[in-house]
Amino acid sequence: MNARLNQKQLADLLYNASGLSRNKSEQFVKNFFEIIEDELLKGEQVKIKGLGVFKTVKIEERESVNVNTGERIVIDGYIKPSFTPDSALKDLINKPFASFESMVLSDFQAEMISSSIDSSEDNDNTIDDETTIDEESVVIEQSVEEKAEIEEITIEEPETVKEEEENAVDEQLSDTEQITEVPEAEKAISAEVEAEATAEPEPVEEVEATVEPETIEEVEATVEPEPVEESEPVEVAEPIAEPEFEQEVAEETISEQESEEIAEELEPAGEPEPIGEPAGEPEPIEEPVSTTTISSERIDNKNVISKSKRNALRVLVWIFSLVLVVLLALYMLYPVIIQQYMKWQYNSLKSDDNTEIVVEKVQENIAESVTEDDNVQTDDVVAEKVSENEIRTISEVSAEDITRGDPSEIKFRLNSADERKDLADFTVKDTVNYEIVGTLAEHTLKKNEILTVLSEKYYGTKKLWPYIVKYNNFEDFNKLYPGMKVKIPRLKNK
Amino acid sequence: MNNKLFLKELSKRCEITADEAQALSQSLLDIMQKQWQEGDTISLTGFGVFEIRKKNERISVNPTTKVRMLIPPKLVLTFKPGVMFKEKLNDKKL
Repeated sequence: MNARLNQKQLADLLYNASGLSRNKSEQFVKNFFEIIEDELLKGEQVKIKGLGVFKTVKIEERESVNVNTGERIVIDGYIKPSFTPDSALKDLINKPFASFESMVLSDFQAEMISSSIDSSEDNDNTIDDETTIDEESVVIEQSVEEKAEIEEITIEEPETVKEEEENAVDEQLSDTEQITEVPEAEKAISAEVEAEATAEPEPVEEVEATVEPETIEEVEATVEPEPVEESEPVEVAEPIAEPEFEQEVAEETISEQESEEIAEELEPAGEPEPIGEPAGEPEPIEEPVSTTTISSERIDNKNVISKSKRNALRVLVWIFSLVLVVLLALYMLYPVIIQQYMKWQYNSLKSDDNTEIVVEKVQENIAESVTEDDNVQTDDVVAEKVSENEIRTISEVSAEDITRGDPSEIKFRLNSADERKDLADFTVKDTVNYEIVGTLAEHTLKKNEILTVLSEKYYGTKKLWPYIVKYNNFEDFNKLYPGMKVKIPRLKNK
Repeated sequence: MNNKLFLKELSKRCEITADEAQALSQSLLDIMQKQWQEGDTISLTGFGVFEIRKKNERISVNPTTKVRMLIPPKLVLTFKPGVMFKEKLNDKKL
């Protein structure tokens, strides 16, 4: 085994095998190879039956580069003896591995094997260094058998998978049945949950209401990764629909009861915040959540064998049902919340109005007396202080008005001029800085006139239109019509 | 030189008959084959070394069809000529 035999040992073996004398056998072996050598030296090839062909090969001279110096070297051509074993001998030597045949590989297998070869490449030594051929061959045979098995498995897999799918479908069917039963069982438990939901989540709900979308997204995030494992989209999709419906129906019944309770509980404690809107929005999100959860549940159901997985499934179901209940509750509460919100707003407006009215009442008296004085004053003031442009415009306007012969209008114009003068100093300042001091004018709306236009017309800025709204108490200032009479308030800087 | 000529030369050098030479060479080859099958190396001073090497399995790609093939591992008999032999060959040539 892995011994290194020399000529003498070979001769000894020959001596043992044949009846030849030791000397002669040695001489025979010596001659045997000498003849080959001699013939090769003559430039001939030697063909020995059962061994192979010895021949000489001329290697042409070639250029190379010295690795160290970088110089170019010419490697001289030389004659090399070569030996090609007989095909019979080849086969004989390769007998341990004779069972192997080269085979076509798929890409996947190629990768698998190439990685394994890379790892085993270090073993590419001579047999001397290795233990035994037999052991090795066994190992290699195993590996190749394994590969063959892999191939078989890959071929068989589709069938097995199909079978599994069928089983899964059967399971699904049975599971759907189970689920139809489950809601009934759930109802018993849901009573508990109701208690919990009414007792515990309510205070949380108020807080959550504003944060709701995020929480739902989180739920989605936790749920979504699972359906990625989905392998049979078509087969799964159909069974999904039914249990989803059933569950939703079952939960809706629950949630209706709950939501009533919730409503009762919420109303006294209900804070008039715009919860309705965020609560309403999540509704469309709800559906994808439900489908994903259910699809994941389906998948889970498929794989459910162990109890732990069943528990996980139940947890999922509960989370899902809780989310649904909360959403439905919020949905039901939407009108209530809106009402509350409206009331709150109305109250706040009312309080504002009251204060204004008081202010107005106080100032109306003053304003009436002041306006006349103002008019007198403004004439003087305009002459003195108002810029030349303004003087022109005012004079033009007044001239026009005079020609029309409408003294009241002249008054308004003059007033507006007065206001303008005031505003010239405070145009940029906030609109809150003004108080309503009586009526400046009464304007009949024409076509295409809007409040900002009026504001611009009477105050010289568009910013002050809210005062007009305030003063007129419009039911809806977005619905004004031509011919409508609008009172323009007189404003004074606070 | 074919097998027949080889045996003739061998019988002449060893002073034995052609039949004997054939029988002996056959038995010698059998012995060598047996050794090789066991993984032994036969080294002949001045001539060279016959060695059994294991070629690892490898993947070869057919460059035209791009079909990947797994070439199984195999054992091959290699002959490495001795230094003396090579020198003799090249000296004679020069």
